Amino acid sequence: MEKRVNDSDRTLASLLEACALGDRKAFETLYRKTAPRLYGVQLRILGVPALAEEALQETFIQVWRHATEYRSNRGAALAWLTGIARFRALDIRRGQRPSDPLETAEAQRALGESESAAAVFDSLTRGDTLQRCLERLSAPARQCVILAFCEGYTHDELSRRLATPIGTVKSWIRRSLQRLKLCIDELS
Amino acid sequence: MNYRNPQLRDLLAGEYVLGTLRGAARRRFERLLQTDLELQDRVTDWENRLLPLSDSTPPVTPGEHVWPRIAAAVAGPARAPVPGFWQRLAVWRGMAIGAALTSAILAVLLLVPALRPPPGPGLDAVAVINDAQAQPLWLLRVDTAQRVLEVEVLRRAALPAGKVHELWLLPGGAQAPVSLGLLPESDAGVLPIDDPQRLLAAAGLAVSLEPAGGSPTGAPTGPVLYQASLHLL
Repeated sequence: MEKRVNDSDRTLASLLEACALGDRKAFETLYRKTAPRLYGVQLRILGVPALAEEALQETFIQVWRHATEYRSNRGAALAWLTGIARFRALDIRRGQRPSDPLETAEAQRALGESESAAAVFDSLTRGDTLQRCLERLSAPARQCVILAFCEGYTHDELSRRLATPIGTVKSWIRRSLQRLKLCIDELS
Repeated sequence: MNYRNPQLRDLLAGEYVLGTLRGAARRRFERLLQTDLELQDRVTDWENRLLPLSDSTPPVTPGEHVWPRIAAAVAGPARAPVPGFWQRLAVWRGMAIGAALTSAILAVLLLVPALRPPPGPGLDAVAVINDAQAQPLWLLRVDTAQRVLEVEVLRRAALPAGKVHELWLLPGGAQAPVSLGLLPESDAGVLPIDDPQRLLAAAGLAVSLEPAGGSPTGAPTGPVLYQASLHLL
């Protein structure tokens, strides 16, 4: 598929290359440029600043140690960084037990969830490839994809929140992924 | 599960990136990712397809105390590798991918007669060190009879001014890396081997970036740039 590249991403890619050669100044610049965005993504998944900061810290330590593994010919630097940030946040989210603060944050958010998925969808630029392809999915399938990606929901959590059998949730997600791939690759 | 079915592979990659692949299924997938470059490309493609979804999340400035902690964690020429660092590195997917690429390039080197290292009585093992784009940088030949490691520069590696590339033996387990010496930046060089048996038994090799003259502490101080494994002949 075509890679998403622009000037600011080229800057990030060259900062990553400098990090790979041990350039600490470049590492700090990379942090200043991307931390707010990655932290926002992690805070959304974790809901608690202390946990999100832990995730952010682990993310950048991993970025420094593995900067050599980023391949600029394969995809956007921001997508690579976001992938690491999301997995750190998801791992921390899963390590939490029900008594942990996450549960409270989750309960606080619970009421607004279907609205939050809709808000994410509405915030996508109209006419952009992913927006157009998500628009073609059914509303509950779209909600599953967005809640899983943006909030870190498991199949089980989606099933409970949407009051839908888990088998249905799984097949919504499977079908959504197949349709999204076909649609995105066709439009881009 | 049949991991050769292209549609299934793509679906698993999508679920992995979406975050809904969990538990044993995720661990199996990650094990496969270590050596399967095509699967890694599918993951990257999904990360790029879904990236606009994270554009919609508002950026939030983290607390001022986060950066100093990160800087401290990656700091310092005096810092010895933290316990377990080498083991953690070993499970990171990139290392195995590097090893797979090395094997592929090594296979080519051994099959093409012109490139094949001349057979000698003491030639016991070879290794190729590649960069992140899988371009070969150094060819290493271990000659235990002469107790030397012959190093040939295949392609010049990027190097900031005032720095050198240091080669390390990774003994495996919890043991600290052992310096094998500084790598030549052009042409070829020869590094003496103190303990040939330890080298042949090594879990792997690594190259770190160090100040001129090599690591001042006896342990890698700069980032580990490249990794390779020895192939016994």
